[in-house]
Amino acid sequence: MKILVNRFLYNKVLLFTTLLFCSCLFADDSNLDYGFSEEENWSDDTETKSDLLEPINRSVYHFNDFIYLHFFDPVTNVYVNYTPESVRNSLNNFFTNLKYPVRFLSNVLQVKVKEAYYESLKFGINSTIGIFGIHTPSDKYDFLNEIPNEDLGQVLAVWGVPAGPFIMVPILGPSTLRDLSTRIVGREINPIDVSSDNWDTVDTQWIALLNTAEILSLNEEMLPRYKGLKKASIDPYTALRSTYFQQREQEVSQ
Amino acid sequence: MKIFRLFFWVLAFFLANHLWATNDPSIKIKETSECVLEILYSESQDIDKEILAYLSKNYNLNIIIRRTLGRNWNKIDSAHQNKVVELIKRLVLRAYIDGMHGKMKPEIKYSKTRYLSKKRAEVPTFVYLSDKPLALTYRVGLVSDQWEIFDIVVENISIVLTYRNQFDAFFDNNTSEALIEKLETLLTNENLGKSLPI
Repeated sequence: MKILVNRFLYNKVLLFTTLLFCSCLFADDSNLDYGFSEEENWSDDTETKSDLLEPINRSVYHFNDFIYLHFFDPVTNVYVNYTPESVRNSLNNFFTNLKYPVRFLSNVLQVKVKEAYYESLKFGINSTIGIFGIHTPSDKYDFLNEIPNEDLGQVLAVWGVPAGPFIMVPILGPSTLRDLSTRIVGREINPIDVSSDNWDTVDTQWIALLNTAEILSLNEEMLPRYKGLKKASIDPYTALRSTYFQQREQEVSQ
Repeated sequence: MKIFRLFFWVLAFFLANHLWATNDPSIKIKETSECVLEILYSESQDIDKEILAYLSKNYNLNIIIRRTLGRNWNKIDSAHQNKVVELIKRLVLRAYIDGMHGKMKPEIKYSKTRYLSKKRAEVPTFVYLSDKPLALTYRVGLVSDQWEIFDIVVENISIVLTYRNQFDAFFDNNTSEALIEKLETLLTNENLGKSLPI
């Protein structure tokens, strides 16, 4: 009788362990979605819902595409081929440094006191030792390199202002109503963007030259990315919209 | 008694195997990335094929491809599903390869693995192609006791999400035949990826 009970228990244990191993080994394989939840496999349709003006946006996208590839690209190529890399880097540093007021104000409005202080410190070092920001001696300090790049659009997002509809802006590219409105406000505090009210009091030729240089500097970085994205995309418009939303979401969450 | 000893060893084997498989996913990613870079900067004539073969041996690439398609998988004719998977695999691989390719072999720095749950983790890396590092994060999931890559995030842009949104838009007005045609055009375009910093 004792042998029978032992045999019964032994068979039970063996059966249980076999079932356990089988379930461990084949549990995920039997799932066609590789164990990913439905939420993980489905896309978020926030982007599609916010693109209320899609037909117009797509037309603007085609217009921008034409301008980028037929006007900006050749000019940028000339700029890249005939300007030494050191000069291009200096120009890029100079414009980045000039946008300090926007970054500082955006940090202050989000009560990011430490970041606002670091931005000021970075601006101070690069504007003096770095000669008007053309060099970046602040790079030596890791804590000054890790400051998130803030703008007024992020301020509104943090304050709870909804992004509004997606807008493909002529020449400027993807944006939302919220971000576009802050660009206009940003002009008031950006030293090289002048609002139309002040056009009589400043040397417009000088400002136009600075703006052109800034566009060239920006295009040097952005155009290869744009062309790469376009070449590898099934639907370049959707790809651009998606990358814009993902980038902004990350910037706001930082 | 012998049967219990055998049972113990079998259990120990499975336990050790399980622990090995569930250890830090960054170890496998580091090994794989280094090998991919070796192939990428070698003088091989068929770099894409070699990398694809190597990656397929180490990871189940169907996972990341199925995730790029998401719910659109069911919209693809069953006769076309395998072909679509193979074409997207090549497209995603090309995007990854071009992102890693520069004038010089890049240096990759691996940060500490972030565990999001028992079955989900992120391996953040920084690819130094130039002075400015490129943030590249591998999202991994535990599938059949193996860490498998289910997304690659470059500078906060998820490859899976970007492609999935495109497939969503594409399938609104197109069929799987049109997708195959589009993918083949993209892959046969000789300029594709020559300047593709994802």
